Amino acid sequence: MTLADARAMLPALEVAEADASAEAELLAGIADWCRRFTPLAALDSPDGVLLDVSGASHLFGGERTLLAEIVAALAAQGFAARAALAPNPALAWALARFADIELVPPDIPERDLHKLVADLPIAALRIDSETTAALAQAGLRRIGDLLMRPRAPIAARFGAPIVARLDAILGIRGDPLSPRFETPAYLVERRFAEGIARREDIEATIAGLAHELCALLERHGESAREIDVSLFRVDGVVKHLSAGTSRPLRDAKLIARLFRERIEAAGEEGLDTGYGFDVVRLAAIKVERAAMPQSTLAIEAAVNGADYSADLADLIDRLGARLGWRRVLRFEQQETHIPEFAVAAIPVAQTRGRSVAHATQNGSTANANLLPARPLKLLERPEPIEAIAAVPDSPPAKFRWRRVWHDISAIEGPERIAPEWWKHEEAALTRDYFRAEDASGQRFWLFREGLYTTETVEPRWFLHGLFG
Amino acid sequence: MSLAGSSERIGFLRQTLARIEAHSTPAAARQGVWRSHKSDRIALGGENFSLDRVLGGGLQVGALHDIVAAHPRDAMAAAAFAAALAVRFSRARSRGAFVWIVEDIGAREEGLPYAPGLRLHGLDPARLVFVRTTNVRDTLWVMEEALKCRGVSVVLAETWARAKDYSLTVSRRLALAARAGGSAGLLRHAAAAGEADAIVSAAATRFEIAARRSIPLPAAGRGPPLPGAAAWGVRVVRMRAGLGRAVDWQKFSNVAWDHEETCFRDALSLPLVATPRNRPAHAAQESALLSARVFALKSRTFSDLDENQRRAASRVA
Repeated sequence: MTLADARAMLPALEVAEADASAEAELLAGIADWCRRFTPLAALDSPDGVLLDVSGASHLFGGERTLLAEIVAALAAQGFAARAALAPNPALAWALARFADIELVPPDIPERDLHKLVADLPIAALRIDSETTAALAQAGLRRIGDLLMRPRAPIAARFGAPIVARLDAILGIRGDPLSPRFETPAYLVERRFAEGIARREDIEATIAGLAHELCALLERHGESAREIDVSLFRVDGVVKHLSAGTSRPLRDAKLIARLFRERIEAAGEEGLDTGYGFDVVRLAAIKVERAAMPQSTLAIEAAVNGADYSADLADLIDRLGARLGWRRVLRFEQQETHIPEFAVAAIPVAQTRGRSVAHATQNGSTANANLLPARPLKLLERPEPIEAIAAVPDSPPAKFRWRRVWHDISAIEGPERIAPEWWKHEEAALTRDYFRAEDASGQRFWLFREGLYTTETVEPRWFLHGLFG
Repeated sequence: MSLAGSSERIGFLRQTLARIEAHSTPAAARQGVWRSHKSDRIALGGENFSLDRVLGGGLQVGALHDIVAAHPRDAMAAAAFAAALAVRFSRARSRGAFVWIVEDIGAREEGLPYAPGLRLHGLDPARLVFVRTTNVRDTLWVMEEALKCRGVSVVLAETWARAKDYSLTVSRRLALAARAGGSAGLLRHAAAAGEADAIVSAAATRFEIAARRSIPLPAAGRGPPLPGAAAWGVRVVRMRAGLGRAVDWQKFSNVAWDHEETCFRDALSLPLVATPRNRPAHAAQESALLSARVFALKSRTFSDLDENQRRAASRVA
């Protein structure tokens, strides 16, 4: 019925606009919260959540208790929910919406299952409304009507998906759900009767869980590369902290220290304990076969014969955990001669396994005189300068940078760097680089962009880097 | 108790104290490594390098060193000097990472380290771990952690800390961390240009750096000369472990960086004024002076030059 009709019937009707994105976010939050029962939680838009609790129900005291707990907890948060547990997802979906039955045991005999399914309306098959209408016109209103009839004509007349749905709801065909988050390889968790809110308690819990996780990893001979901590708050919010490591890790103390850094970096507002966390879960998302302990970094840190590369890797992990992965970098040569892209700063975690050595082994710069001059520091973006040169082609005599004039007393150049014509469709400009020194001893790397007369009428000057 | 017995006990106590002080970290004690009071020093230049003599053999390895620019325009010179020092420390240990810490403010003001430029300075960029921080507190934390790590040979931090953020306590923590980890710490105070004497710090050495024109190389043709090797004016502002000989705290000595040998050299006379160019009357004299100065740069000491060259080099333009 339209809003006008509804208002006509009940003038004091309260109306609110539906906000689809907000509702979707809310549903996602509920699905996250439901991960406290099982990591396999999937969204069932627009108004449901699917949980795969195979094998997990005994942890909650049985299936009926689990259902009651879920409904009660959601009611406490302010949501009216209906839950159903069934051997397959399609049946559970149908029962939650169209039937009063809450629980279907897994060992139900087939006859009873058929009887159960037969009573459900056609809409429980999750097919679109046109097909439902068409089926209703043909006089088929319950699933039982469909089950009685041969399949081939139904598929021919109403489409093949119906048959697939029938199979799914009877449990003949598998219907895997795609969980929202990657299933972790290993998982340990701890539940508390009352929420813990103090930082020391959280860190101590994580330390204890790290011991359990490492024991689990050792039993299977694997080490973790990416570890995730999920903190479930009592009021439904879930906080995630994740840490990656540059080498496979199996040491409980190091894992605990990594998360201590993360929690410190998150700070009070970032962690936002609220009324406390009542479930703390430590999961190893990515694991690797534990090889011989060798460093995957190209740097070997050995002093006096002892190997400190493990210490270095540990330091880098901690710096990354505290500052963020994008702030601990190494330089990697790129396949281009354009100066600003010739070297890229890559986070250390992404360089694992790749050698980033540039020059010779012991870093000697043989034939350094033949290397073109390159500045010690490169500005993030070349800054425009005013340069005065005798003729447009010649090196500048003086220039003005950041409002200060510099008289050039010595200059080397030009070094011509042409653009990569194979990459750019529109014409990019050639650069002539100069190494200039001014009267006070400061040394600059300037370039003129655009060749006079062939590329541009007025070439522009920029300062790109600084020598010392 | 007899006199002899008490002096024995005093001697024993002295030995124990010395052993405790030498074992500055439990890790070293476990390894049974004896540390001497004077940690190793790295020479900065070749033989008879003047700054090495002033510093008493070189810079200490397990210690913190401060570097300050003399003037805001000398900031880049200070950065390059610090990088050259770091290269020296890094080369002294065949392995071990070089950690360079830059704050976001520094990245906006001066730019980020450029790996090919580092190679020109003599450093293999593969050994560099580059850390970007947002504020001073993070910089100091990263520096302390990196200094304590034994896989790191030198840490160069460029901080834009103001005087109130840097105090004796902070520098002492860093110095202790450097000593514990056996790595060298170089802290460049980018925001304190000109305040070298005012900084309060527990660092082993403090340098003030000014930019100097390099010794130019003659250009082919009539244009301006080519810039030569990087040169700086270095003043030792503070130095612990005094030598017992008088050090001129106000004197700037001119040094240049030889990136082939990766060491410092004395640059005996650097042109203070621009040499006149495009004036044929002075050309011959100019080239004689130029070659004398270039020779002065290459030679180890003043005394290596013969009489004529000495006379030529001592003439000021």
